[in-house]
Amino acid sequence: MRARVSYAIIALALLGMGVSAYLLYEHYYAPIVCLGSGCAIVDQSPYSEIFGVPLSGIGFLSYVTILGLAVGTLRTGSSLSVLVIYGLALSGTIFSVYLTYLEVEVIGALCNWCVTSAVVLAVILVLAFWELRVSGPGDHPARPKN
Amino acid sequence: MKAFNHWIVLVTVAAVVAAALLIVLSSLSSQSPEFRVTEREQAGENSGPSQSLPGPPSNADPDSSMSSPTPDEGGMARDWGHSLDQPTLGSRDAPVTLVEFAEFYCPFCARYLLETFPKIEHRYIETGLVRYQFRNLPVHGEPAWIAAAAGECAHDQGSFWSYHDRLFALKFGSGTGSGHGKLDVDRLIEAAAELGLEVERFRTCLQEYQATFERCSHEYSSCIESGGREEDCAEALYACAGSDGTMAELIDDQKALERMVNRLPADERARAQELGTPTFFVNNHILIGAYPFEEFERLIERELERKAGDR
Repeated sequence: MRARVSYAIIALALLGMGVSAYLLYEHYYAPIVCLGSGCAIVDQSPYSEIFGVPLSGIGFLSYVTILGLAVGTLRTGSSLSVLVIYGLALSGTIFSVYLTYLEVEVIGALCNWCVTSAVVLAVILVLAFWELRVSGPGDHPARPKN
Repeated sequence: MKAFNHWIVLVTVAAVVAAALLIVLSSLSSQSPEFRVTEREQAGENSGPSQSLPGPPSNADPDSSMSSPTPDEGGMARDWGHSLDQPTLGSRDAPVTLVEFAEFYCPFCARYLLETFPKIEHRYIETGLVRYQFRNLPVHGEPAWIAAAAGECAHDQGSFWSYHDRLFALKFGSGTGSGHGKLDVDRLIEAAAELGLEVERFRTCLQEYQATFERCSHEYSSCIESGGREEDCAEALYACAGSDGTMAELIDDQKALERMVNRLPADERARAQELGTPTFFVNNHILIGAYPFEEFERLIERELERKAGDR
């Protein structure tokens, strides 16, 4: 995997971690008042959890995994890691599209932070897919060998 | 390379299946419990002692001027005729007035209604210690304003509280099946019909509001676009809404909020720079947020003691 793509995925994963950490904080320690952002409505809706597990928490763990895999790829150049990043980003993107549909059509409020997370995942998906198509199988050491 | 492509296909299929599984699980777990709002039809505006009590403010309630603005309030002449008739619960002689500013789109308002309000109602409103008033503060844009207007239209037919409970149940309860509903105009009218309100009268009331809203918000936008100051444009909006009709009632609520904030002690006024919903005024003290009952209890008891000391 080329270093530039790895670094881009690392940066996006860090951004996603920040967004989901903020949403997780809002979910548990929300300031009990609506200030006009749709995030309070979305984050307090029944759709913000799956059987008690907050979606923002699942999102955070996904980003941590993607970060770990991207860092690992940077060091080893393994295409397997890119494949896993691609799988995670694809399932996350599909689920994010569903959640955005819920926000617009069912909940009636759009949370900008949730949309940001969806966009971050979609970009990671595109990068990972592109990398898989371009690089193909085998190891492509990111760091130039001395 | 061919084998690797197979892996990509396999992972793609696995990812799609995983996403589908997440969607199914999310759908299953979002069936929220029934929204257990207190039914106030029997104790609300249609009968009983705690019905809406329009009329002159009592001497025992120094803050009731909040609900009955006089021409000298805010140093400007005012003519918001409907403000004498805000949705109110409790005795007009109650020593403490509790005003709630809320909107039907705010989950924290729903949480307050579900968890805290029944305790306040039972302990303070039903016992004549607190007079309770509802005012609108729509913070989630046009849909929230329309829902607020629908509340006012229900109030015009003497059914504010039951409609208020119904909207929160529709928005945050499981009444929609999905557990979280949109409150579009059709749904607002349907809710009125379900409660036995005069549907045509309700529809006309909402349509008049929408027409006024469109006309006046257009005027406001034009004012802003032509470089007008926000305060001046807001005044133009208020003037456009006039002193009658649902839009005027909603604007009266925003004006009432300004007046009440201006009347707060300096330290509390400083905290009230950014207001959201729900916001409460316990006599002349502010509480921003859906705090637990104990916080209201502390403030109300303090006010009751102060009033007892004044006698």
